[in-house]
Amino acid sequence: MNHPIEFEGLVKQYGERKVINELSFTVPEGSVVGLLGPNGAGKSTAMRVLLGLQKPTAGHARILGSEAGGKGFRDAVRKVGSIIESPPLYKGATALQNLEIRVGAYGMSTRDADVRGILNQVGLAERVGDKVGNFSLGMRQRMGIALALVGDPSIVVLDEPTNGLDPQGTVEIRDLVRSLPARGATTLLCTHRLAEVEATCDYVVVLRLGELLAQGPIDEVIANATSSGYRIEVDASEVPNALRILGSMGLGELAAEGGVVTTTEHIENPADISRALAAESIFVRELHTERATLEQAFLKIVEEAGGV
Amino acid sequence: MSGEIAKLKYLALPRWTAGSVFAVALIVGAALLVFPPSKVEKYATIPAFALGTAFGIAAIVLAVWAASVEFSSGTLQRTLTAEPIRSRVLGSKLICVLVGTAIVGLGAAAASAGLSEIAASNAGVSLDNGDLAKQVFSQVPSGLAFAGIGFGFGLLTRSMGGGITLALALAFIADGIIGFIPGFEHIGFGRLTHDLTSGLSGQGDTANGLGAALFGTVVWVAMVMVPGWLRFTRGDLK
Repeated sequence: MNHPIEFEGLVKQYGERKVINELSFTVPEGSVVGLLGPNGAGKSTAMRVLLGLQKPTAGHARILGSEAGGKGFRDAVRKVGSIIESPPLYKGATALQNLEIRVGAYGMSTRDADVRGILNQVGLAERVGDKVGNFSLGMRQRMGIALALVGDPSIVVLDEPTNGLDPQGTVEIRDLVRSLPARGATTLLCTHRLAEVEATCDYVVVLRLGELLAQGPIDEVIANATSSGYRIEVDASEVPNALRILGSMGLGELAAEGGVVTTTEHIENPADISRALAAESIFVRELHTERATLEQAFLKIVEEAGGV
Repeated sequence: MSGEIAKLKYLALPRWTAGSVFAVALIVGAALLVFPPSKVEKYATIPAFALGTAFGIAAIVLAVWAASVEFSSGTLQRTLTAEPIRSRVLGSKLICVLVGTAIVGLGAAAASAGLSEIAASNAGVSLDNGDLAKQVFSQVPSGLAFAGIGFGFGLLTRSMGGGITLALALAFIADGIIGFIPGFEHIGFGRLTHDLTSGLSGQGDTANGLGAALFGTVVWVAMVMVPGWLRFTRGDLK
């Protein structure tokens, strides 16, 4: 699998202060990766180094195999659409003029870039002639995304793209981000909205104080960080027997309250639980798979590393 | 380059700045028409002085803006992802500033000379058109030098206010501060650009020859622009 975005031993230091420390991770092609971390984790700095706005103290940040100042970087970075921290807008210009400036910088014509199609995608087609300085925060976010989509980028880097959006706008932008892989774009998404990451991303990378704490597919990160198991309801009088049987099935730590037994581990086939209990005439009333949320996993990962 | 041209075209400050220079030319022309001067040479010296001052300030404002607009609007990331070679970004901006400044300067000089000629003929005064043209058009090269220091200070300060203040101080105040130092009386930026304009127009007192004034002006512009250029191309940007 190709990895259009790669960080390898990246260090960024301002004086004595390290804001990124030996950061290494890759973003698989066509995936949506969430970059998470508390404020000051180094997320935006990592993105700036990636785009060549800031120089690394040590290590490498590569886009499509090229790093800033190196061979092929110009062609590579021109395939990136980005918003870092706030939408990069000329507030005195209209939505269309902002896009025309962007298109001009790429040496494209507005027709080739399909600027009206892009404005339509982000729901700003009706406001094409309005100055973006008069836009609401949410509309500016949409405008920023429109700018990031100019030139049909193969990599999209978005920092808090739903900041200031209402629930409907959030859903629309979430759908848009989800549609990027189908357009052939690899996406690096930086946000504090963990529910949004869970709904949008395939992989997550967790940073704290410039250091990598966790990375991988969302389910794997959650499973590694939190104990998730089953909630099994049986007749309260059968609980001691149920605990004896379940204790030999590799379900981790068991706890009981009333007629409910909870486990901390999963097994390959949950039906084995019902079968084993039924063999001893204990009949399961309900069996739920308990799954921690990304938010719970994130908080635990950060807390174990020393907190925010 | 197209992106920089689009910024000049669509953003408000370049339009207002150019408009102000033309407005000054128009107002001075109207004033000459309504209040005809008693001395013939005033039909050339008044518009040349007004144009020179307004154009010089406008050139500084436009150049500082061009150099610092990405910092104030937070648009560097989009500019540098479209063109990551920072020297090219600055080169495009500088060319646009110098060409734009020259177009405005030449246009305003032409308008100013034309209005002065109309005012003079209206008052029944015969002007030496060659002399009039020399006086107004000779303001353009020093205006380009003002743009050069404005661009440099814009890059150094990354701020519209800071850049304009420093550029205006160098152009209009610094000579008075360093002029008392023996050997520095005639090599301040203001003196050199004045001598450049005087040398081209053939009018006024000069302390330096045309060649020396041009060389000294270029050295001043380079002294301001090179550190700004290096700061932009080598430093971290947000």
